[in-house]
Amino acid sequence: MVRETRDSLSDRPWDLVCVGTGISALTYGALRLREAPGQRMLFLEQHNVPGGYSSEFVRPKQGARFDCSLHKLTGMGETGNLRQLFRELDLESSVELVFSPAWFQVAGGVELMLDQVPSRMRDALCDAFPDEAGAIDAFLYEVEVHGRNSYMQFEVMLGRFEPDFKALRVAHRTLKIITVLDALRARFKDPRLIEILSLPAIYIGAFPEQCAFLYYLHVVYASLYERSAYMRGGSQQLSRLLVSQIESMGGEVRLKTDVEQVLIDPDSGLATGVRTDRGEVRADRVMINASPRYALETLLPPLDALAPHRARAAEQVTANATTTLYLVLDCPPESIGLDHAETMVLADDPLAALEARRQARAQPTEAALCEPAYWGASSFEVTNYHALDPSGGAVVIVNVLDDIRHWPPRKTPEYRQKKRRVAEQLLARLDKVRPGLRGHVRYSEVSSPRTYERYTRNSAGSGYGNLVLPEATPNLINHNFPVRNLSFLSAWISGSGYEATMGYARMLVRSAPPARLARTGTDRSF
Amino acid sequence: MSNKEDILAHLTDLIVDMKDCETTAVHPAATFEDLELDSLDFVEVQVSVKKRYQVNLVPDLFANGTIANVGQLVDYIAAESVAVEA
Repeated sequence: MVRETRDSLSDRPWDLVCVGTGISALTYGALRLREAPGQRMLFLEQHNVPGGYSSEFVRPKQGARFDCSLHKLTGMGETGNLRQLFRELDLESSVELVFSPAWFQVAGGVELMLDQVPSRMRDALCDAFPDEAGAIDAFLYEVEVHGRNSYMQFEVMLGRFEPDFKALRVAHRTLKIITVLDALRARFKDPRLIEILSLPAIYIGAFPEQCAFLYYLHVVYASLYERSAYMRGGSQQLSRLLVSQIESMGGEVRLKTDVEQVLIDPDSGLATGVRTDRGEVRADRVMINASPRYALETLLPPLDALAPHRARAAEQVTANATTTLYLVLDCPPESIGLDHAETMVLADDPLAALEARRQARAQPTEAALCEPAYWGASSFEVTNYHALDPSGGAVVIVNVLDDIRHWPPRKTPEYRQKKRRVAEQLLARLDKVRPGLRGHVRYSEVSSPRTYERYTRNSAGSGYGNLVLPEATPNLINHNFPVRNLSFLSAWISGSGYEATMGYARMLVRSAPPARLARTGTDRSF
Repeated sequence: MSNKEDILAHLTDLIVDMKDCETTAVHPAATFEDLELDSLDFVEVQVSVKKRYQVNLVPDLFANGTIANVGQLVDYIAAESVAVEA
């Protein structure tokens, strides 16, 4: 049970205070407390539920539970990194995994079911696009070799997996520097096949013309070869389990506690704790589970030593935000054609969509360009949560990649009108590929990038972290940070998705082995 | 060749090979940022150092700023490899 009562937080210093209770912070806390029992660790959360994006909200009158982020957990096969982490956390017996046979269903112009088993996925694609069979095989080989090497990065850093470095270097020199779109265009002829294979870029908050091909290969590998699964109970269940573990090992999670500033001692240059809306909290270490940009602009004092880091954070390009349409139907979604857990709705005209997005990016505050580009023209993703967990209601959730900059401030008439417009447009598109669906909508609700910004404080409301662009410079924000007892832990450092964020937390814990802790008498892994 | 010279020569070969940079770019004061080492490069350095010197470079050393340039890396490997030999 998460504590909401306000005992004194300031009696004596904590070993660690963490700002935010996103999934990476909770994973770190649960793992670290297993490694170093007795550590006094405090996790502060401004919201009234833990989990950051890994949370849910309920609408009791509708009998609905809406998950904010959990569509799939990659790496959940027997050898997957995340499955191994679940074992380490003793979560396997507490959660029920749902392995959908489909990776995703494709709708809109092409109707196709892509299996999660690579050979069957390959056969489905080759049946639909027989002239491209050779290119499909070559593509899957790239996924299997280069995607795998990239996927194993944390394991390599921990010395538990050694890739073929020659292949890896070739991949970095040739595959990392091109976009998904350029790579797929160089490999395939049929624009419909290119659009279908582009769809997984949505999982990392990117359009195919933005994302580095190598990063995308890693995501495809993680989904297909290491398998993906859903978790009954959704993301809030996962967050609750981790909070429960932290508390059972002596850690504390405080909700509704807003951190206003990280305190830095000007003489030592070290963090001494945080100031919250409920007073100061002293700590030997501080960890920030939020975007570095938010931390550097808001949480940290304007020290000269941090100026280069602020500049570097400002240079990072934030991944696209999402706008989400939450629906409750009056019938099981499966009965009206949403046969699988996940359906990707293809763009009517991918080339026109590409051009529309180019114009929208050039004028990102111009609603007349952005709305048709992101809501009307681009491919989007639909999850049938009822198929995964009927106890959550006849829930369907629609996600489109979006940009916060064309959204007016919340609580304004313009904002409310815009929400109505996006619901209308997405429902119309959904109804086009699954005729009659619209008539079954009993309740709908929209979350915009501003909603996500409000609850997570993430820059631009993005849950994906920074875009992994082909031209991206090495992300060195977390290296050589001048405040040595302060660090960042989130998708903004590790990459998007549960597997990346939880895996990074695991790597941080593992990179300070117990022997070293015993020798130094302190935890230096932050 | 002293241990440190050997380590510097090894790292220089490695980094020049990885980054296609000039040998003169790799010197003790060169930071990893100067050399534009990315995460893959860190990993390759880690594996190579482990194989040659039996020194484990945990990611934490880079993340917390303990090792920020080539000279510090050489010093760390030299110190830890002596400890291993001892």
